[in-house]
Amino acid sequence: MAFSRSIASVCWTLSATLFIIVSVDYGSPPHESSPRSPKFCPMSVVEGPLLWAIYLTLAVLGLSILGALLRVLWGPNLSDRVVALDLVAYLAMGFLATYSVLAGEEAYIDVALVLGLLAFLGTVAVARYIERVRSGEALVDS
Amino acid sequence: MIDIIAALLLVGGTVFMVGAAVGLLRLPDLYTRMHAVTKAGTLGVGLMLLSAIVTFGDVSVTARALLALVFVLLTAPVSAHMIGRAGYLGRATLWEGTAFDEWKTDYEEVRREGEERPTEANAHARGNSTSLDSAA
Repeated sequence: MAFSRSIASVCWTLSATLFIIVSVDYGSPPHESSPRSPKFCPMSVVEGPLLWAIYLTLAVLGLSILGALLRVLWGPNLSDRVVALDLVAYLAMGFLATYSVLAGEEAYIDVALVLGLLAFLGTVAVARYIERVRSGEALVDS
Repeated sequence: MIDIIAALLLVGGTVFMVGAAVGLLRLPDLYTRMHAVTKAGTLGVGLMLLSAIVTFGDVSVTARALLALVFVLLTAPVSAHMIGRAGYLGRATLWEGTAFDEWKTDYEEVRREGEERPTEANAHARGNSTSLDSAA
């Protein structure tokens, strides 16, 4: 039981950490000097209070994702971990919406939509799984 | 003006998101955590998508962001209900300060059997509902 619990924690944490690395890599503001095709240049130049609000939002959302991953690590139950990953998906949706405002790129809204869809499907699948295996206490109460 | 409105929407969504994360870390129970995540997460995502709508002011962005918003608003209660039911049937521990547990008597048999079977109570309830429907 302890072994399966540690394996599950390591798997959850690794996947979420990969996600954070990727999101931080793409979350850096676009450089003006970097060679880009004109298609991907930001259409709207964001400045003033909106820019500071976007920076504050991105920083705080990153910290919130870290807090939710702490719950993924600590959660005494499989259901707690699933709820925490649900919150991680919501936070990533907010991150993508905010970054679409920063970059002036509309396509991130579509990415947020698909991410919400996948989070719903994953949550429903894991809920059905927990209900199916509730005779085996080892998987549920780990 | 539009920038200030969008910034206020972003900050409001951030406040809701941080509330959800702090509630997820601090609340004592699966069900209270689920409460924090579902409500605050939905409102936070909605405010941020509204900020994107206000900033772009475009028809295509508005349509897609409203689609995402409606999808989250529709699916968050469903997923929360399913994961709460699975957690209860998987014997997630309740908080000590829980006032009452409505499923305590009804679902002990369901847990033990592994699946719901037609019992006398169910047949009785079904008969009552049909009689109510016919009366209505």
